[in-house]
Amino acid sequence: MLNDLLQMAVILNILAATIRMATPLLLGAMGELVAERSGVMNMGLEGMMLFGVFIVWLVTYLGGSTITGIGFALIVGGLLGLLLSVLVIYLRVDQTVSGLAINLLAVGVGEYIPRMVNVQNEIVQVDILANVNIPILSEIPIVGEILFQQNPFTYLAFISVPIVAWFLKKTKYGLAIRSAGENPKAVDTRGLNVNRIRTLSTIFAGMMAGLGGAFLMSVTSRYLPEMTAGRGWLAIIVVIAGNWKPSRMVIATLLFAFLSALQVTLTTFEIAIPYEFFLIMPYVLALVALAASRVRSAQPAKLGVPYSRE
Amino acid sequence: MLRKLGIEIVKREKIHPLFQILAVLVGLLLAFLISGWIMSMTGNDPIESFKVMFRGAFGEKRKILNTLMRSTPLMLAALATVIAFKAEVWSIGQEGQIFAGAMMSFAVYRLIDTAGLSRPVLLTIVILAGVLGGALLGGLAGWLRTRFNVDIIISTVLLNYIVTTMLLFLLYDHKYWMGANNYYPRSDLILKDYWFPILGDTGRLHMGFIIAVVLAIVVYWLIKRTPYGYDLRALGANPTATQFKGINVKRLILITMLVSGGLAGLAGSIELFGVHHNVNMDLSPGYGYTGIIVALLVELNPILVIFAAIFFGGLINGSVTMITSTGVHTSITYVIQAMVLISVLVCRAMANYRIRRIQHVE
Repeated sequence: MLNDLLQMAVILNILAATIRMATPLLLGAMGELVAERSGVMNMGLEGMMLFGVFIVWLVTYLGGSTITGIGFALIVGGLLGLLLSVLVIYLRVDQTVSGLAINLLAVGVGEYIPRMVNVQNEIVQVDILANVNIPILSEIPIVGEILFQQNPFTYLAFISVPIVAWFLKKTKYGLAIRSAGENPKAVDTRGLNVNRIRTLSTIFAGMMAGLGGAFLMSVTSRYLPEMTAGRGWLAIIVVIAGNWKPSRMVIATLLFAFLSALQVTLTTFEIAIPYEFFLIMPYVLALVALAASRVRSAQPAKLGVPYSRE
Repeated sequence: MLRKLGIEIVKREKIHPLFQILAVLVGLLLAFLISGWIMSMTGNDPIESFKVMFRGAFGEKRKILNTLMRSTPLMLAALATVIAFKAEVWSIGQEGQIFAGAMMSFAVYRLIDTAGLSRPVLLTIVILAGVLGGALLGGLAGWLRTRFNVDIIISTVLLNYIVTTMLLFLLYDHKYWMGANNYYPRSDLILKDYWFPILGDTGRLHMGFIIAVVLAIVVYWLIKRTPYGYDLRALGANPTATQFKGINVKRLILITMLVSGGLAGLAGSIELFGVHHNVNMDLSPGYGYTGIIVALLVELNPILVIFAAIFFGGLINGSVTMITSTGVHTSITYVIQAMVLISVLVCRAMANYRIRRIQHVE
């Protein structure tokens, strides 16, 4: 009887952690989706997320609140999106190389600044954002515990899915974004500015990535360089494995998040499987998912192709 | 907006080579200016720090030799990048392949440890093992691309994470490779008889540097003078046309990833037997990524890679002196590297355009 209860608690814990861990992936992936739909492949997602983490830490160190930090993470994410746009859209630098540049910059700044400003290596605790219980819904047994006793970011991430889906599919701005990725010439003929649409979409992607990073920091509280550990890349993979469709992307995200949750929860128990095995599981799954996702029917036709009138 | 000012931006028909070099130099200058600004923000004197850095890199004979030692893995990682990027195969797996190479050489070394082989024989075996380790990892990404259409960029990034985590697994908890008396995750030292021979009477420059320079020339020859190099360049220039010419594109991608991975794997083996003499997590502090920057900086020219690698080797070596005498942390080199990449890319791209005054109003 007691054993059963314990098992139940562990399972609940893992499932709730799955939802929580899906947050940064989902935020990053929804932003990436918008950018890719407009025709820009944002390979700097990992770095943008890393900047989000670092900015929240920096603001806390300088005496600001977590919320202020999140605000700055949004701004910096947007600026990085703008930087990527200038490189990829206007200067036509290769997308892989531009993304790499942003990722490396994030690693460098994220290690150098904390070491130099915090010379004494004081412990800087970022205030953890409290979970918000949704009235009534959080009272539901099991489901309430898993879904409705989460961080505000988590709700935001999951709400962003239908909003982005609706925005892309039903609004005229969404149509313009999708057309910029499929047939930029037609968009241009209609008198709309393809490059501006793509720039705005990429800035949005940067902001969402910054937010994803900010979330990570606001639940972890202690800063470590390269804390994102590939989550930005997983978000890019979520878009591909989800065939550029929001609903399928949620499924892919939950799979990755489940593996991470399993790792976090099970390492507290004495089990025979080594800890590192759980660490590499999401990456291995990502490779398998990519190998299996042959269907790329919804991939934007002009993804990663700079537009010019000539 | 610009048109109202009576100017417009147009693409240049031809770019003078001198102008291109100028663009790179301006980019470098810009990168150091911005990095210096970041240094001054953290309360350090950038000019003094850069001076110390330069002296630490090239100030005396021993320091120059150590700079060359640091440039060795960068050179090999850059050559690995040259081979891949020439064919527009966007591999960023050099970092993981360096580790894979080191791990494979160490595994083989442990297997034949007690055989009592002479140094040249053992070093040849472990070097080949390192090449094989890197090639296998690169080949895996190539195979995933040709068989399952998995993007090489993404698979190589994932494999980087997987390989370093596997090494972590081997080095922790005293189970496999971790030295018995070590507190930190690192293996025992390799027997001193099997270390790479040191070149010169001072410093830590080893034989690996010569191997890297020779390979730069080999890669140049491979790309310029062999049928494989021709196919490689054709694939990079126009993949569709290459297919129609009857070249087996899939096979070519696979070979490219094997060769590229092998070069990076060699770097790992060289770092292990030439510099660290034990396996640890800092075997490559991002040499794979720096190698990519080196290759891009010289527009994938294998001969120029030698000089660019020495420049970045100097940066890394100089930063060690800098932290002891000015307190600026060595991680500033990552900032400088990223800034170099971004600003050189921007300056080079801008060199393709020029500003023109509009002669007549439409």
